[in-house]
Amino acid sequence: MLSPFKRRIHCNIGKKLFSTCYPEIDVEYYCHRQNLSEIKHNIEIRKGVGDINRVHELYEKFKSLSMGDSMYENIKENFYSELVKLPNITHPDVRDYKEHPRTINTINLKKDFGSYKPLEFSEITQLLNLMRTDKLGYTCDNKSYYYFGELAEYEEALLKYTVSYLLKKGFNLVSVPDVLSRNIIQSCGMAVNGDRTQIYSLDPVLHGADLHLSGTAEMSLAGMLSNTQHDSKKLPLKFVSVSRCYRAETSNTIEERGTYRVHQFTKAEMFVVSKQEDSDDTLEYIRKTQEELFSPLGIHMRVLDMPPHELGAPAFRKYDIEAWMPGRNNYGEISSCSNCTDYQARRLNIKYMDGITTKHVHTLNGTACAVPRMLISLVETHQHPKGKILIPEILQPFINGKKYIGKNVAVPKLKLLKIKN
Amino acid sequence: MIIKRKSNYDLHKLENLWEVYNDLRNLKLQQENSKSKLSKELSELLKLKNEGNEVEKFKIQINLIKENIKNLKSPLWSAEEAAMVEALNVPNLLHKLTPDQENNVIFQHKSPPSTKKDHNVVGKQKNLIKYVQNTHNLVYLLGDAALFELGSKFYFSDYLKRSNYIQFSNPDFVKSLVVEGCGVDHTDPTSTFILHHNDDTVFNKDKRLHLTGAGSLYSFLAYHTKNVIYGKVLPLKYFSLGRQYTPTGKEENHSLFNLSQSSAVQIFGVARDNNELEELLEEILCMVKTLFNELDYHYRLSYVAADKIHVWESLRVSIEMYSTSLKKYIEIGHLSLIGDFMSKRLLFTYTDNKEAKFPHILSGTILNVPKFLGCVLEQDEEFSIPDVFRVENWPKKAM
Repeated sequence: MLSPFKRRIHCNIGKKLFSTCYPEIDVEYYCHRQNLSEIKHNIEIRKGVGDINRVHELYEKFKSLSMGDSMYENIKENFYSELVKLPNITHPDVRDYKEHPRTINTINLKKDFGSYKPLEFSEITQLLNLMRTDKLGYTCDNKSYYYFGELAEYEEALLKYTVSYLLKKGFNLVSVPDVLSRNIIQSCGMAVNGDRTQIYSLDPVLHGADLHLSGTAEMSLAGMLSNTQHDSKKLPLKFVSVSRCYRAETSNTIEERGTYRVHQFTKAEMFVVSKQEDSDDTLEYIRKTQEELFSPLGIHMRVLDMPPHELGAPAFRKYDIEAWMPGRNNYGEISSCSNCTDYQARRLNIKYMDGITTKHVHTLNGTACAVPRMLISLVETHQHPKGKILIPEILQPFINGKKYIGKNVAVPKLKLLKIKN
Repeated sequence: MIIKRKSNYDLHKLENLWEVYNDLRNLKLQQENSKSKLSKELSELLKLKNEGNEVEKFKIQINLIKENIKNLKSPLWSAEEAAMVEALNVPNLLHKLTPDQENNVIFQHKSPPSTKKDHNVVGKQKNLIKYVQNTHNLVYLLGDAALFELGSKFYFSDYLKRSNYIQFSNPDFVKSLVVEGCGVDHTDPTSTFILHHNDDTVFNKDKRLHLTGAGSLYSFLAYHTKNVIYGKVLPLKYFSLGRQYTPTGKEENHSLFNLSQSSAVQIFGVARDNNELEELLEEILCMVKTLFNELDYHYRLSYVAADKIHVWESLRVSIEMYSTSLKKYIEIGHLSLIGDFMSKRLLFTYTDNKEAKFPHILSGTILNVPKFLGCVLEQDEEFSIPDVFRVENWPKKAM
């Protein structure tokens, strides 16, 4: 799959420090006086980081110096470090959305439970003895969870269903490493700075500097493609990965209780590389793929076109899919897909030959199945008052033909040991 | 036993530490005895309404002893900790089947491949493997290699479920106490990956987070630490599909045989006693044979010699395939008898007639996917995904 790629090693990232080689940011656009107010406005509506005035200031200083000047490298470095902080530009359709997302589609109706009051995922799994989350801070970490019995089987079934569907659609399966260097994570638009961060790291003294746990397979896949050049006839490249995702972020809000926001989870992720002119359509293709995957599961969903301030730094446009979680009585985000245009490609040096010119590819990503929230939505939607969880027909072949999940009696309940002194 | 293991464990050190601890403890007991004796005499005196010098003398003596006991406390604690930590490092007892010198092959399927192949060369030719540069030994598996990874896990999972093994989906982190309780040095960066301490709590080398993986033994022990179950539920038969993270040296050559991150199928069995544990081992070995015979590659099972097993193991059965590039057998899976070594250290108990007992444990990675893949790529035949791993075979009819 990767053999046709011609490697373009601008600089050997492994051997030199990242700071000594610079990403090919569109300096002409960002540093042109004429674009100043547009860029300022863009940063403002995205509520993003980045200081365009500072970028221009450093640019003027940098331009005035000659290569031999003692300050040259120093200023250049400062200039680029400010430049890479700037967010992507925003899709014109989205620019005026202000604060709120626009609902562009709804799928399936909310399930009518009649007089039955639907229970929450944590209550159902407690009643049916399918999950443990209590008293794990002492041995694992806070927010840890164990699925067992048919709930663990359900996780496997979801992954089988998702991957086999995407393989049929021509996606290429890749198994990715979960430990990445800072450069790759930052190039994907995630900040890794100092101690308070969303990223877990390995102890730098014990294991070597700059090793971090991947937050999503998007980072590993983008990293795999760094410093590559592709033939335009081979595009788009479509990848799917099943990986473990690690997120250090914490939250104590009541909306995010239970296994809604966790530190570790399994996720199937799509990653697509397209030609520049195709990325808008490709984003629609990924969104449709998600809708095709999720619709047969019978959960009620709404598809949202996200406003500028929800795009983070890399996305040009982003759709979220929120599923209805009847027990929680709320919508919850179960997936999203983004068009990052050339934001990641410029930082990671991913290009294609278009006739005789080389261009930066556009990268896109989308969640195919993030297990914990998908399970919350499925279990809460398909709970049966008689104490079982129905399994959507399309998933049944992947869980040995089971039509529902009942109470698990094979795994004994635990009792905490009381130590007498 | 220590000689057979060729362990450098120092029994004299333990004896000495234990002696110091015992002496201090006896001293404290002596003092406590004299204290209670004096207190008794004092109260007798007080009952007789005696006053004056005699009472004063007693009070001073008692205070003196109290002071002595107080002063003994801290050295006693240090001595206790030193002796206990040393005692916890005593290796597990050896099982009678563990050979003294050489591994003992107990089963073999077919004969080793004869053509010399290197999985890295095949992997590169067929575009299946891409190593990550300049980090710990990590890899991307592409196309059929990635399908092989998922497919093999699902194949094992399906068979285990049909054999009434219960599937678990575990967390990937454990705290230091679990690593230590498994008989592994929790401060040793070559044993487990230790996460950077970046929250607001005070740094403590004994309370770190370790990245060990959902497919590791640790996560099953973390589940049961400090917990009680009823004896009547035993034996327990669990398994998980997940990652295993193990540090490897950076200097080593890139190879599927020494990766820092692997996908794995991990078995965890809990039995009432040694007899039940051995029955469980027999049963699992039977399953292992069925699973691997079906795949029809050459493999063998052997008991590993005493000097090559971990301190926490009493017996290790190794599942090996032949690497033609390295001209040696590679362990692609294993099963370990642990007995009550870990349950005692981590206070995992069961109740039997209202009595608390320590259950006996066996565990093992019955499939390490990248090592298995490496050996499969070095077979005589051209690489192709076994039919039972193929995506067409993922959907199944009712059991």
